[in-house]
Amino acid sequence: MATDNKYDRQLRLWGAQGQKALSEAHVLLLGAGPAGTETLKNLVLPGVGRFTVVDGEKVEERDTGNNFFVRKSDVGRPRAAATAELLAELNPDVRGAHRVARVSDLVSKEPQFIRQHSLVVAAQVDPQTLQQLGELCWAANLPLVVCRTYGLLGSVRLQIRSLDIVESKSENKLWDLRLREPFPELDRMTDALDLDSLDDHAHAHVPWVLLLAKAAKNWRAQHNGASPSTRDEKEEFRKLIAAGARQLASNVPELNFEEAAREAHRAWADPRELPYEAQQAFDHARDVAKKARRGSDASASGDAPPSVEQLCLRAVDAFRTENNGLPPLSGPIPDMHADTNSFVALQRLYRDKALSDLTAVQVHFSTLIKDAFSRAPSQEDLQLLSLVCKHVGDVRHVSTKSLADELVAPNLAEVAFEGLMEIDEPKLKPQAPVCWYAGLRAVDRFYVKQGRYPGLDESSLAADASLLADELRAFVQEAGAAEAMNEALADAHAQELSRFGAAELHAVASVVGGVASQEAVKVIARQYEPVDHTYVFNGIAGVGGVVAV
Amino acid sequence: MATTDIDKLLLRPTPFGSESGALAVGEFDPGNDTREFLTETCKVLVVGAGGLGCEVLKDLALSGFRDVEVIDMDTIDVSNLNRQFLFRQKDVGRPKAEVAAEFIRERVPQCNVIAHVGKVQDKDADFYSRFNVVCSGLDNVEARRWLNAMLVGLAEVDDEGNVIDPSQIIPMVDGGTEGFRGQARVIIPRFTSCFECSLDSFPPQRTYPLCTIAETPRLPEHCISYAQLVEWPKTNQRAIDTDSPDDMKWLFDVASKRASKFNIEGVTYMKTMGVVKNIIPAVASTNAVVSAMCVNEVFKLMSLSSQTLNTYHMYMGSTGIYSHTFCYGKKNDCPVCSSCVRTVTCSATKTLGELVSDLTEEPLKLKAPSLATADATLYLRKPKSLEAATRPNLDKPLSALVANNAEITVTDPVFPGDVALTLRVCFAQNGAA
Repeated sequence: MATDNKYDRQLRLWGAQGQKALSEAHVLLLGAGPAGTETLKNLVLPGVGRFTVVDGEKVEERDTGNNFFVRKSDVGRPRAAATAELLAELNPDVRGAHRVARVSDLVSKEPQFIRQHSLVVAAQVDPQTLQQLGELCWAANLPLVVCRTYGLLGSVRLQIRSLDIVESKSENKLWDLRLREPFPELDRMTDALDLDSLDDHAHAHVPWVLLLAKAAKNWRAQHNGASPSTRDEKEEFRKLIAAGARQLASNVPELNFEEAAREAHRAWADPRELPYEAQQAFDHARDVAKKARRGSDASASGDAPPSVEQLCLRAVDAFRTENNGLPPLSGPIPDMHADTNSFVALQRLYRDKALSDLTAVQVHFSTLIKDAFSRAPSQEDLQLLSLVCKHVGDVRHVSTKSLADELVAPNLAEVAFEGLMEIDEPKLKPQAPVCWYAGLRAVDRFYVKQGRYPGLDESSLAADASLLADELRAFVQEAGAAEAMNEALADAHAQELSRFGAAELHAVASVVGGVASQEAVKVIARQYEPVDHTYVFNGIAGVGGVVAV
Repeated sequence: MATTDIDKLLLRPTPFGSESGALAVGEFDPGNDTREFLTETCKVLVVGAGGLGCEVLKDLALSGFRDVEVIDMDTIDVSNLNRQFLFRQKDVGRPKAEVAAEFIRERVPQCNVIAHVGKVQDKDADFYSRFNVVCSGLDNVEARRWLNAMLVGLAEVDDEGNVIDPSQIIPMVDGGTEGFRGQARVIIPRFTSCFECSLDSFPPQRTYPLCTIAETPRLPEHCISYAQLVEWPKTNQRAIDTDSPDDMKWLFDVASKRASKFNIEGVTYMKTMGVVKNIIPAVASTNAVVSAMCVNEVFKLMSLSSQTLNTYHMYMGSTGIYSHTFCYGKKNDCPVCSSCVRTVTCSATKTLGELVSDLTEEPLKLKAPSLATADATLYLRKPKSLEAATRPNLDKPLSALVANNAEITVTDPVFPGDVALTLRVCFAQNGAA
């Protein structure tokens, strides 16, 4: 063993920052069936701070067949106690607690208890209780993860009213190089570079960033300050770059010039233009601030003090206003073909500029923090601000549809049309996640009317399937999706759902628990992008998909 | 008997049985026979008792399977504990397979798990042919290649390519993860694509050009690679033990010194480990998703109670959730699952040694090939005496060893001993290489 840190493998994903957030979170689990305990297991293992399990059932024989966190000897004990005990045993860093209570009672009678937590996981909660819980969490801006296991089907629904993500860690890495509008230090370094005077070795090791900076400056000088904009101009610029390479005696092509030609588009990238999603996050922070000033937003984020994340965004926004729209420089540069000294010097140049921008943002930040909390920024606040400045293009504001809106106004037709269109083979259409989403909604309607799930015992299998088929047709019809879904939906779906008889299969619960816990970690760590908003797993065909109805 | 959750699947009819799916493997017959087969008769082998294996064992035990064996060569490390939930701090240093089997037997007594401590390559065809299905969660390509070739080899085919004994078709359900992404796939030997068919999709390990490492280091990774590849062999007689804190500390110190000499920042102990051990980030959640998808397929394959994944499912959880299911196509000239003879066209003056080295690169990526024709040994690695006797052949031109269009049989340790591929060597007319 070369490390004594049991969290090593996950720290490589979410870092010390994410781990700290996780260790400070208190997760509430409502419903200790297999989907719930599996979700919690995957949060306890990586070191969530605290958890509380709420469940009103007693452990039955059935539980020992599909729930890993009960033993034969637990039969007859409260399920909340048995599962909390075995979950806590997984990781001594985690504090576990439980309450023996019916989830429906807790939701209707003790909303203040629920609000004490940082995230709620609701597993196998009945439709009416879920509706209440959804409203409660929405009002409190409390992230809610809804887990469901139904035969071979599973789903994870995320409800988030408002959440700022600092590091979305998008796969295509953005590099803020400022070649179009170089800062003075970069400009000086560019001017100091005299390519003709360099020997071959040095010439072949000038970092491409400087090659581009130089070429871009020359271009602007010859084009009234404009950067290449038309396709022809861009092509011409690229050719100019490539033409700058020397024919070396060794006949080895100059890699740095090849890289520069490949990266030429960075010469005209507008540093003011942030990715659409990032810009939205800034716009949202600004809107919230405006509303707060007007005092018109009485609920949710209105009465509550602004989050530190929001203040970070507003500080950056103030910096941009002051700097003609330019965001603070991010700092890091990509690796490139270069000799050590020129690379390190360039790296320093960008880092120093980023630091000086950060200092300027901090001035705004201090004022904002003082106004909001009547104190100076803490070390932690400053760390967050520095992260935001380093990842300006990576910030996101997350807001999903509420459960209430999903219930009354589903855009099913549109989602179904898109979801089914991308499947070519007619035989595979019935297995599209959106079909099974509709099926699960039909099951809910059945439950609300009958007070039980369909297909619980053999005698009612066929009758329930027929009632369920009616519900499915009615649901799709009312949602205006009959046309979009006609060719894919059949009575077979209702028969299958009736066959499932609300069975909770461990493997399906475990898929659900895995997905739900991954989403919970993203929300708690405020990293990566959470799902918007429902993931459906179809274990019949081994197909999964996001359904944003 | 109390109705359990899996009974609803096993005893009730469905419009979506195995026969209705895109990859039909049989006809579902709901009832006690199916249940009895699953719980009493069916033997499952779990390969790997790590992040995926722990999950797979739990999922199998709670899906009705009672006859399970697990094989793994590793011992438990502290860095396993964030996800390999059958292990505790007190178990560090013990064999994974043993501890995992003990834990499952204790928690789910109706499921009997037998542990095998060792490499997959240590077991023979008799061992593997006892199982009805294999579920693998391995962290390396090599073991998967070998296991895949073993299982494909068990499904022997006649001259027309039909499997002689269908009972020897042992499906392999394979999972893999990296960070927030993972995949689950079903391999039905001779019917679907096999692991070898998709070898191209595994990128080679990230390395840095030696000249950069030696002459123009820029990143902390370059300094760490220098310590590992250049400095270590200079000062030490033995290979690096990546599990030894002393060795890792040595590399970290040497890399740090080099970094400060070049004014490069960011060499940390954690980064040193990451580079030297090629550490892949791993979390509990992704392992749970992928393992459970695999076991769900095992359950359906063995009971026929629903359709089968056709054949590959990808899960990506970093940016929202993206998942994709598709049929991974068979490779017509797959060295493992097709009986195709590969033709190699080369100059008659090419040496045997050059041919051997070609075979270790794309597309075959063999490790240590041995070659023979029907009537002569060309180059054999074992035993030592034969290796010595055939080594001089490596320098000889092919034309001195085989006739034009001769068929050469190639064996390699990446595959089990009885799996061989056939090359036909054609000498190019114009002498082109």
